[in-house]
Amino acid sequence: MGAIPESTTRGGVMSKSLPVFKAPLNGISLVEASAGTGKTYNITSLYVRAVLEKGLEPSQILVMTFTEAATAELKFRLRSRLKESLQAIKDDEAGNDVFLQKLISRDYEDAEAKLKSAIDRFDEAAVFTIHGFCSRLLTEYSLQFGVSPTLNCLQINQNCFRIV
Amino acid sequence: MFNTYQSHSLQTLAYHFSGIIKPEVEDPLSKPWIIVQNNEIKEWLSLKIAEEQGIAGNYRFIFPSEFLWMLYRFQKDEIPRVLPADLNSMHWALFELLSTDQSLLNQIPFYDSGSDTPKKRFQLCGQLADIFDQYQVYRPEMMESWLNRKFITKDPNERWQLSIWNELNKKWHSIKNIEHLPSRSQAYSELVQWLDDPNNELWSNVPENVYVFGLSHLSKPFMEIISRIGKKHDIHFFSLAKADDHSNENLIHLLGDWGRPIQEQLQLLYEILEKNDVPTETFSWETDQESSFPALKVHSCHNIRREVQVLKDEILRYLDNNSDRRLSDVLVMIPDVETYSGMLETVFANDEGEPAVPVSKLSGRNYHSAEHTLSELLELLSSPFKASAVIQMLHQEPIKNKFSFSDADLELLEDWVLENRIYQGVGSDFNTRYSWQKGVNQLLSGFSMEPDILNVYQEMVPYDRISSSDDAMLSARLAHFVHLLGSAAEEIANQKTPVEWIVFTRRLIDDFIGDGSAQNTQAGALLRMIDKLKEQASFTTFSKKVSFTLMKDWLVGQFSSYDSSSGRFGQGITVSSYIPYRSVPFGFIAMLGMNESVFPRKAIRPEFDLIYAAPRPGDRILKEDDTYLFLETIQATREHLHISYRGQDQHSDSIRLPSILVQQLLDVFFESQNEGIIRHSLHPFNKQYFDGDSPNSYSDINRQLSERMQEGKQEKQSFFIDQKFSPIEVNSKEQIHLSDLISFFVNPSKYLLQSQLSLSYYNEFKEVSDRESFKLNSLERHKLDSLLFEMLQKGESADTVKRYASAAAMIPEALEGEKVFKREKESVSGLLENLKSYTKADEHTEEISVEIDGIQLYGPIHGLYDDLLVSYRVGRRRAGHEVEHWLKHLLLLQSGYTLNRSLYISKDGSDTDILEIRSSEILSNPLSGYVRLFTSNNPVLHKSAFFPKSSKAFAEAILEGKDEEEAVKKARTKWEVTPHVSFAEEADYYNALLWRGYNPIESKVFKENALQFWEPFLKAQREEGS
Repeated sequence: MGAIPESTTRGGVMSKSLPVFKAPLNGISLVEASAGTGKTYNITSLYVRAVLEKGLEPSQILVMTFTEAATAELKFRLRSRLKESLQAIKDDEAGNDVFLQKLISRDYEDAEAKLKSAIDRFDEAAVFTIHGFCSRLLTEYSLQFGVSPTLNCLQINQNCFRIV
Repeated sequence: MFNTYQSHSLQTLAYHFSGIIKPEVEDPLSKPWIIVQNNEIKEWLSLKIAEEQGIAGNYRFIFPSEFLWMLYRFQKDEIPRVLPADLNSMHWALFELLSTDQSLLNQIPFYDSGSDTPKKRFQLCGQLADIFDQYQVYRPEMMESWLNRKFITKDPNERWQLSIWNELNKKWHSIKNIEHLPSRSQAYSELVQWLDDPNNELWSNVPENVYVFGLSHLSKPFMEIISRIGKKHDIHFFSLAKADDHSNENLIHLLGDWGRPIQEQLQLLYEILEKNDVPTETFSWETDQESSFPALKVHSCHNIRREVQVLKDEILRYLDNNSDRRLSDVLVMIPDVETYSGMLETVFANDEGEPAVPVSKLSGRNYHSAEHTLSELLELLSSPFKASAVIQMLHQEPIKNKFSFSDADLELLEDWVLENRIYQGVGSDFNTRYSWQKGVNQLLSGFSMEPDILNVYQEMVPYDRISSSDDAMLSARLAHFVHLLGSAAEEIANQKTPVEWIVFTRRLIDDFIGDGSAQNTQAGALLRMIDKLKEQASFTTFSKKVSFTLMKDWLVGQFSSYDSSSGRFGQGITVSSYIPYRSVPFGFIAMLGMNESVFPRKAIRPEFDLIYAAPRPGDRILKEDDTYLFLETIQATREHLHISYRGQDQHSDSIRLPSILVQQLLDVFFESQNEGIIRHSLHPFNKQYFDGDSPNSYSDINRQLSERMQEGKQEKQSFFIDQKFSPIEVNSKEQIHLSDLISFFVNPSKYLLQSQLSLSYYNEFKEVSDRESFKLNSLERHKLDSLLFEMLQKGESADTVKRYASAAAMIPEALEGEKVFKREKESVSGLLENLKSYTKADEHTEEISVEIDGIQLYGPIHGLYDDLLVSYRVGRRRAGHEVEHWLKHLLLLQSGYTLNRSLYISKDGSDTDILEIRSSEILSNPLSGYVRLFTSNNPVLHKSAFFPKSSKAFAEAILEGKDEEEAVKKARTKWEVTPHVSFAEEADYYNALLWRGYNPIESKVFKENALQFWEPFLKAQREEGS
C-alpha cells in the first residue's frame, strides 16, 4: 500500500498503513488517523470490497460525514474508485495501484456486473451528512416518528428562535 | 389492426402522421381521436399538422389518463366527474373509516394505535389513499381480486391493505346515492368486458381509426384497452425508436439504459397484442445519416442568478451565430417555477447595457398566484399575527388588488406599524397592547381627534399624523383588512366538519382574494378547485369535526401539488417546468438546476407500497420517469443542449456534483468530468468573460465594470492622496460660518465627503419588529428621556407622561416598565434641576464675528447666561459634543465676550454629569491654530486624520505621561471595531468610506492633529459629577 501514508498508531487499534483486504467487513472497526493520511482513500477501497464481496448496492452502504462539501467530495471519489476498479478488471491492468492489483488477483465472481450496476445506481448511494441522514430518516418514516412528511431542515442562518 | 410507426425523430413522426391522419370515410365531420401525453405536445402536433396540411382542426385530443373514463362514460354517461374513489374523496373516506373502526387500525403492524392522534391518523390515511389511487391505475386486477378476498402477492403488507380496501368498498356501497358509482379499477374491468364483446354498443362510439402519438409512458391497463380496440378497429401507434443511431457505442449503451422503461413497456405491449391475437404491422422511417448528438455544454455556477445570467449569454450567442433561428426555437426548462421564474423574468428583461430577451409569461403557481396567497393566509390564521407576517401578506399581489394597496401605501403602512408599535396579535383580549386592532384604533382616532400633546384616549394614543383624506382612506382599508382577519381567526378556534371548513375557505377567498368575476381569473380557478374539493369531501357521511390545523395542512398540500406550469408557444422564449415540454423538439434546449441528488427525483414512498416493493413494466417509478424525461429532452434537442447546475458553493467555492445523469453523459464524452464542465466565476463582471477577441458576455455594463476594476487596481485612491482641499476655495469668500468649523472638527471625514463630493449617507433602516422590547435600547431610552425632559420642563406631571408612555408602548409592560420609567424620570429630573440652577438668568444669544488671520468667522451662539455658557444634552456626553462646546467657548473668548466659564450638562447613566471649563485656565487661545488646520491646503487624508474619540484617547495618554506606543494603543481601542466595541470610529460610514484599507492611527498627522486639538482642552477642562 505504498500510496497510503502511514496511519497513526494508538492503542493497537490499527498499525501503519491500513491492510484494506484484511480489514473485516463485519462488526465495528475504528480507523483513527490524522488529516491527510488517506482515510477517505481507504473508505473508497473498502466500499469497492463491500460491493464485490457482500454484493451490496450503493443504496445499502451508508457513508456519513460532516459537511455538505465533504459529502460531495466523497461521492465523487467513491464513484471514481468504482469506475477505476471496473476499468482495471475489464482491462486486467492495474498500473501501479496496489489495491487494484490485489483486486484483480482476487478474481471476484461477477465483478464486472456488480461494479457496473453499482456505478449505474450510484445516484442512490447513501452518502450523507449527519443531519442529511437524520432528515431523510424522519421523512421516510414520518408516520412512525410522528412528524410532518414535509419537514425541512433549517439552515444555520435561518431564524431558529421561537417566542415562548 | 395495430399499426406501429417508429422513427428516431419526433419531427419525422409528425411529418408522416399528418400524411396518415384523415377523417372517417362515412362521416367526414367526425373528429379523429388522437391520444397524446399532454397539452404541450398537443399544441406542437397541431402546429406541425397545420404546417403540412395548411390547417389543423376538428381533432379530438385525448390524454391517456382520461381515456378510460371517456370510453366508460359512453356507456354510462350519468357517472359524475367527481367520484368517491378519487384520491381526495378516498382520503376523507379512509379517515372516517379508521376513525370509527379501531380494529382496522390495530391490523396495521407498524401503526402504534397507542399514540394515535387525529393528525397522525389523517397522515396515514393520506398515504393509504395515495397507494390505493396508484393501485387502481396500475394494478386494477389486484384491487378487483381483493374484493374476492384473493391475495396477489406474498407481501405481508397485502393482508391488512386488503381488509381496509374491502371495508372501504363496503362503506361506499352502504351510502345512498353513491353506492352505484364505480371505482377506477371496477370501471376498468367493466370496460374490458365490454370491449371483449364485439357486439357491445360501445363500439358504435369508437371511430375506425384511433391515433396514439409519442407517449412517454404506457400503463398496462392502457395497453390492454388499446390492444382490444386494435383487434376490431385500427390503431395507429406512433413512437420514438430506441436511440441506437449514434456512432458512439458507449452513448448507445447509456441511452439504451435510460430508455429501458419505455422499451420494456413496448415489449409488454407486444406481448399483450399477441395474447389478444391482434394483427400488427410495423413501419419505421430511418434517417439516411446517423443522427448527431446535439452540442452539449454543461455549466457549473454558484447560484440561480448566475445560472440564469450564463443562460442568457448562451442564448444570445446561439441567436447571434445562427441568424435564421428565432426565439421560438429556444426552450428553457426549470426545476421549479417558484424559485426560478422571478429570476428569469428579471435577468432576461434587463436591457441596461445588454439586449433584453423576451420570455413567455409563466402561468401557474408563483409567489403572486392566488393559490399561494390562500396557502399563506391559512398559515397566517393559525399564527400569532406577527407584524412582519401580516405585512408580508399585505404585499401579496391578490391582496393588494383586492384592498387597493399601492406600493406607496404599503410603505406608509409599514411606517405606521412601526410608529404605532404593532408587534403581534390581531386584537383579542389577550395582548391587545401591541395588537393590530389597537394600531388601527390609533390610526382612526388620530384622524378624528384634535391633535393634543400627551393625549391618551381609552388606553391608546391617537396617531396624529393621519391628516389627509387619503391617509384616512388607507387606514380605513387597513381596518377592514384587520377586521376580516380578526373574525376569521375567531372562527378557526372551533372544530368543524371537513365540508364546513371548505365552505369557510371559500369565504376566505371571497373576502381576501376576490370573487370569480371575469377580471379575476385566478380567483375563479381557485374557486373551482375549492368546489371540487368540497364535492370530494361530501362523499363521506363524515359528521365528525376536525381541527383547523388538520384541515389547513391538507388544503395547503392540495394547492402545492398543483404546480406544473409552462409558458406558451410564440411569445418569446418558451419557459416551462421540466415535465410539460419533455419531448417537444426545439433547436436550443436548456435544463437548469440539474443538481446532484435533486434530479432524477427519488420518490419517498411508504414502505408498504406494493408497487414500489415489486415494480413491473408499465408502473410509474419516479426515478425512471425522470431519467426517461432526460432522454426525451436530449432527443428533442436539435442543435444545442445547455445544462447548468449549482456546481460551486457560493460561500466556500467547494465543488458540487451535477445530476448523476449528467455525470453519466459526461463519462461518455470525456476522459475526466472536469473536461466537460465549464466552471463559471461568481461574478458576471469577472475578467475571464471579457478577455480575447470574442468576449463571452453580451453585457456592456459588466464589461465596463470589469475594465474599471482592472484600472482601479493601478490608481488606488489617487484623488484623496493628491487632491488638495480647502473650504475657502469652495466658499470663494474668506468667510466661514461657525457651523462649518464645528462640523469639520466633529467629523472631518464626513465634512469633507459631504462638502466636496456631496456624498451623504441616508440610512434610516427601519424594520417592522415582531415583539415588544423587554428592555429599552439606547435609542428608545433617548426618546423616552427627550419626551420626559421636554414635558417636565413644560410643567407636565410625571404621571401624565407615564400614562402616555405606557399607552404608546414606549416603555415595557408591568414591573419592568415601572422600573425603567422611575429610573429615567429621576435622572432626567436631576438633569433638569441642575440645568435650572445654572440658568436662572435670562438666556442670551451672541452674534459672533471675529477675524483670524484674515478669515472672517461668523454665526450665532446660544445658551449664554450672563458670563456663563451652558450646553446640555439629555444623554451621555461624547467627544464630539466636547469638540463643539469647546469651540464655542473659544469663539466667545476670541470675540471678546466676557465669559467666565462654561458648562456642559449631560446624563451619565442615572447621574448628571457636568463638564466645566474656566476661561482663566486657558492660557492662550488655540483657535487660530484650529482655523489654520481647517483652511490649510494639505492633502485630504492629512486634514481628515482627526477622530474626536480616538484622537482624544491618544492625547490623554500622552498628557498622562505615557509613551507614544501606549498612547496609540489607547487610541486604537476607540478606533477599531472588535466584538466588544461596535460603535468604534472606524465603523462610522464616512470614516469607513475614506479610510478603508488604511490605518490612520499610526500616522504622524494623526498624532499631530490629536495633540494640537485636544491638548489645550484637556489642560483647561475640569470635571465634576453631581
